[in-house]
Amino acid sequence: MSTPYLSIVAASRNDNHGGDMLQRMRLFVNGLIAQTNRHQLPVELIMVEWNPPKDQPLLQDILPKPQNGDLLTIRYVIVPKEIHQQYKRANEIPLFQMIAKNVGIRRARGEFILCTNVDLLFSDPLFRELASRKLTDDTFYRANRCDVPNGIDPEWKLETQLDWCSKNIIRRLGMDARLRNFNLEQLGMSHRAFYLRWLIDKLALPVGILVSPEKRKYYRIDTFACGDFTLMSRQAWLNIRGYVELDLYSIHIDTLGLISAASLGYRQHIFPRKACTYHIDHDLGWSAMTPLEKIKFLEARPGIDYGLILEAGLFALQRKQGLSFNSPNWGFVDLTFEEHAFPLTEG
Amino acid sequence: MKEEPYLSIVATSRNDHHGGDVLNRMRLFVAGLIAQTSLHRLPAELVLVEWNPPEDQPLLQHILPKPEHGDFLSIRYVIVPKEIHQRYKRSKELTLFQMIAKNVGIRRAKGEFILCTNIDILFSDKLFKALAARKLRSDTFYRANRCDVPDLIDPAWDVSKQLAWCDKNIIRRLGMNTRFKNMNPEMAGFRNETYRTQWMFNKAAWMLNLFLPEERRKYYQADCVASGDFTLMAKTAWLDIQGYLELDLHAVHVDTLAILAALAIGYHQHVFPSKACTYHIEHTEGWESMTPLEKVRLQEEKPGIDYGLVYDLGQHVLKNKRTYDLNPDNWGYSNLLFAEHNFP
Repeated sequence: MSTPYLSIVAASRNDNHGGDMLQRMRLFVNGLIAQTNRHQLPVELIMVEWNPPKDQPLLQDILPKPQNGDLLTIRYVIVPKEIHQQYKRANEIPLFQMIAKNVGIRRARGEFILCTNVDLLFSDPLFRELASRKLTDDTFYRANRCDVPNGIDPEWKLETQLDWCSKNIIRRLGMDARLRNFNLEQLGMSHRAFYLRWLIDKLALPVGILVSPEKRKYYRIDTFACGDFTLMSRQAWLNIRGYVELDLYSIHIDTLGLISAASLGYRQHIFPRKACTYHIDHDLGWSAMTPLEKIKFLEARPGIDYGLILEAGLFALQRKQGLSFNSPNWGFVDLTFEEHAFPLTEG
Repeated sequence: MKEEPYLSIVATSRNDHHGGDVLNRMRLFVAGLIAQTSLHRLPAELVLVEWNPPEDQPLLQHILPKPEHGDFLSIRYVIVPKEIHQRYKRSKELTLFQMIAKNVGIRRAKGEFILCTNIDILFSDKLFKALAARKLRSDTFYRANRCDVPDLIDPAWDVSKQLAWCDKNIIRRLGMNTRFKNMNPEMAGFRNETYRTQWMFNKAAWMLNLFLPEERRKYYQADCVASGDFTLMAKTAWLDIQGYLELDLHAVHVDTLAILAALAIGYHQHVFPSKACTYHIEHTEGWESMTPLEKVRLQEEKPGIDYGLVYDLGQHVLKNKRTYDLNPDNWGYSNLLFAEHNFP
């Protein structure tokens, strides 16, 4: 097996989290099999199966498998319950998503690594960008996330699915690549008319001159929904030491990954609007919750949030040295986990 | 003191040395209140809620200064026993549910106005004068800047000397500058910028406000930072907002939600002038004295909520002009009788 250009890392478990999870995961895997072939891009998908429920089949037994000749390979890495139970909040949080992704990052073989989630499809313009093999190792890449209803028929061909997604966008998350002076999502103004966003973007320029460089940098990072698409070279992931490993619910830790990269001098590239991901909306998705549901959710499964992200982010950006939280063996690099690769190699 | 108190001051603590030399700071706080209520002839009660008192330590009432007959301050110690504390899922990680404890005090307060504060605070004389003027309004909530000072105040000094020392040894000031009314720079992440930058930002915010919806404008004009140290409103207002949100989490930022709830249902904000401030005695476990990385570790140890959610919740209530409606009807355990000890 040749070294893949791109490793795609995702984490999951077969517990139907978010409702109808299997269906969304099947769409995700089938989409990748089809697109890697269409765009002739050798890719490995590392699916980290964290703390698999004992009463359910493993994901490898129920998700679509690439065949010999496909350009996608899938590696299932199984992190057993015994590891999960090392965490204080193991009973509240069944999947430590970002630690699981670190497991994948440490084992990835690709020159570039995309960390993403299992309920996404990639637009063809986005896949084309990846397949052009023009990614540079001094840059981290972001793509807008477009949420679509959970109404995709798995029987449709991929073109039909993607076409349907492009016509059924509920909301778009992520920065407009044309407006780079200020991330308007931080002000909750990303959905306003373009002229208004343009005006605020221009206004941000003189105000930006007066604030500290780290603050200016912070407010230009494309942070929203970055857990769904953060792409950089393998070396860059190693330099930032992956995602911060915390005994907390995984929300917003993805943002710290971007900030670490920016603090170490990696440049940000946001793909054009058409080169987006489509995220299949679900009931338990953070964006779909009301604020009152969010507080009850966090009371049950605590995590970190933007106030702390801002402080830690400014701290890292000012010192230009990332967030040195993780131990040297982050992602359990010192352990060998059970692994199953597809397509099965002969012999 | 025979008169019903004009002001109830609600605070909570336990005798567990949290944040280092907490006893010394509590003594300064209580002695300061005894002196200032008398100086300004303001009848006040301090409702000190002792939450989950450690079994191997004396109760606070036995070790803190006591007001004498003739003083204008009365102190009521309300004891919330361990059995109540242990009802919470995070009772092993958190020893004191600060905002729920304050709710216990709010529900039992007798004053026309209630000030929720903390036990490591001194009040400037200008601030006390403003309280003693008895011109507080029931349609308004009041905020005062917090000035952090080193933990070097000598308890042997008289209060006026302590306050003069504090005034000259301010490490940092938290709270809204009343000259910047278009947008609170603290709420928009511009807290430590220069005056010139904040002035410019304030002017830019004027234009920005033309495009922002009312709820967002109000949110960014609220004076929320360190509001747990000084939030004052009529008792009826506290009842209207249903006190602090009662969460099985670390108390940080829950104070902000109370301010936003009051704004949401139409209470006006009044920020006292900068000289009418509180002095907060700095300590090692204080949120403001931690590095961001220490804060992340604290959050991992003692999880709470943060500004992302505060923003979402704030927008929700400000838009709908209502409170959160998450607390039970008996918030602050108004249906229970706790042991209470009064002084004098």
